[in-house]
Amino acid sequence: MEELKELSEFIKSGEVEKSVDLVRGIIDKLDTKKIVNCMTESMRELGDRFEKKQIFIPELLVASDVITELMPILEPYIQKKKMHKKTIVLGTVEGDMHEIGKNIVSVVLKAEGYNVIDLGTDVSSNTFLQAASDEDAEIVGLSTLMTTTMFIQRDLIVRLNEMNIRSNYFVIIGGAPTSQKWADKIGADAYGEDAFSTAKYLNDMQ
Amino acid sequence: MTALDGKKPDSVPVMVFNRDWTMNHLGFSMQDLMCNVEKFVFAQYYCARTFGYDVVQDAHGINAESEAMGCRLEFSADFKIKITDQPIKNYEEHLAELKIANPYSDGRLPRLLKQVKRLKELCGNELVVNSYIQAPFRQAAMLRGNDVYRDIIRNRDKLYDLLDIVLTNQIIYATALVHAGADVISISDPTSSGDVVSPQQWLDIGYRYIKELVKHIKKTKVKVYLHICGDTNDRIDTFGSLDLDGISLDEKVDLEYARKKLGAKICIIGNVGTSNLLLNSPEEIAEESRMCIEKAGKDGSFILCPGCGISKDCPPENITAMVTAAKSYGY
Repeated sequence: MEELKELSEFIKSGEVEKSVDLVRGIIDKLDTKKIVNCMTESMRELGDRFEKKQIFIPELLVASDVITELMPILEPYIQKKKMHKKTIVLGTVEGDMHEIGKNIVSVVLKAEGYNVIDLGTDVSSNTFLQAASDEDAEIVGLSTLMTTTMFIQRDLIVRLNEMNIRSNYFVIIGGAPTSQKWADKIGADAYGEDAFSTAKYLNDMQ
Repeated sequence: MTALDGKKPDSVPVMVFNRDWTMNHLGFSMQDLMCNVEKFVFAQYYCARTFGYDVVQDAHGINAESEAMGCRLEFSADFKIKITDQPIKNYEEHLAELKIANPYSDGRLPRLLKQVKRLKELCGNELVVNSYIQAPFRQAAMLRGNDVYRDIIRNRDKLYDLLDIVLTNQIIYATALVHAGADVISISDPTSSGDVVSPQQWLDIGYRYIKELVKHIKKTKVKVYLHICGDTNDRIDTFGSLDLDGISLDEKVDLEYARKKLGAKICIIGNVGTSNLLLNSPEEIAEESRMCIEKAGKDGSFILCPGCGISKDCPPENITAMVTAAKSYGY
C-alpha cells in the first residue's frame, strides 16, 4: 500500500500533521490492523537505528509525537476489534521528574499494541498500586533516572510482597542507574535497558 | 590543582560530587542546604577534612541559574528538586521577555556566591574550591523543558536564539563565581550525553556553546572542567579541542580508552560507579578505584572521583575506601 509506505516515512521523520491527515483519510477504507502494524514496524525500525546509534532521542521524540497523535484516532477501532495485548501501568517513581525515557517506552508499547496506562512522573507507590488494581493490569513498569530515587522501585516491590499480591503483577524496571543486577537484587521480574528492549522482552513473554 | 595542570601531584587527588551526601551525613536538612550558608559550608569542609579528600563544592546542581532566569522549582525535604514551571513555553511570546540574571541580586545566586566566598575563606589553599555552572544547552533545557530536543529538529534557529541569551547569562555567573573565590569551575551538561544526542547534534549545539563559555571563563585564569553524564565514547575525541583543563567522565566510559583518545595532558576525572558506591562493599570500591587509577592516572593528570553525583545514602565507608585506595595505589 502506497499510503502505508508514506505513513511510515512521515512517522520516522516526525511529521505530525501529515500523518494525522493521511490516517484520517484511510482509516475507513483500510484494515486498522494494517495501520497499527505500520506504526509498530516504523517504531521498530527506529528502535534498530537507535540501538545502532544511527539516531538519538530528538529523532525518537518527534516520531513519538506522531504516534501520540495517531493513537486517539485509532483507539476506537482498536477497542472495537479487541486488538490490545496486556495492560501495563507505567510511570517514573516518586521524587523523579525525568520523563523522556518513560514517554518513549509508553509510545513504543502503545505502538506494539499494549494498553498503556501512563501515570506520568513523580508517581507515588500508592498511585501505582491503585492504578494497577483499578486497571486490572498485568504489568507494572517503574522508571527512574536517579540513584536517589531507585530505592523507590525496591520499596514498591516490598509493598507488593507485604500485601501478598506480588504474583499478580509482572514488574519491569528501567532507567539510567538501574541494571539487571539491581533488578535481581530488588526482586523485579525484568530489567528493560531501553524502550525497544522492553517491548521485545514483553512481546517474547506473550 | 597540579592534576588540572596536566602534571603529577604527590598523591592521587580525590574529589566527590557530594552535595546531598555531606548534608545528610551531618544530619542537616534540605532546607539547610538551600538556606543556611554556614551549615552547607561546614558540611563541605568537615567532610573533606574527615574523609581526607581534596575538593569542596558549592551547592551544585540545584538549578539556581535556571531559577534566577524564571524557572520555578520546588524542593522537598528529602533532597528532591521538582520543576513546576518553565519560562520559555513558546519562543514567539516568551523569548523577548527572558532576562539575564544578576548574580548579585537574583534568586539563590547571591547565596551561592556567599557559599563560595566562605568556602574560600575557610579553605584557603588547603582544599580546592570547586564551583558549578550548567552548560548552556542544559540551562536552555531547564528553561524550555524537553522541547529543546524537538527544537533540534523542528526549531533550530529559535533554539540558537535561546542559547545565545543563556550563554551570556552563564558567562556572567561564572565570572561572579570566580570573583567570589572559586579555584575551579565545573560545567555540567547531561543534556549532551551520547545517550541523548548524536555526535553531530553535540557539535552543533552543546560543543559549540561550551567552547565559547570555556573561552570566556579561562580569561579569568581559573581551571575549568566539563562533566557530561552517560556514554560519551563516540564524542570523546572532541573534548580535546574545548580547551578544558579536565574532563569528568561517567562510569559508562572506559578510562583507558579515554586516556588513549585524549592524550596525557588533559586531566581525567572519574569514574567510580555511583550505583556501585551505593550498593557495593568498601573492598569492591577500593578495587574499582584502583582500576580507575591504573587505567588513567598512573602518570598524573588524574583525579579519582565518582562517575556522577553520589546518593545521599552512600555508605561513608565507601568514600573512605576511595580515599584510601588513592593513597595505597597512587604515587
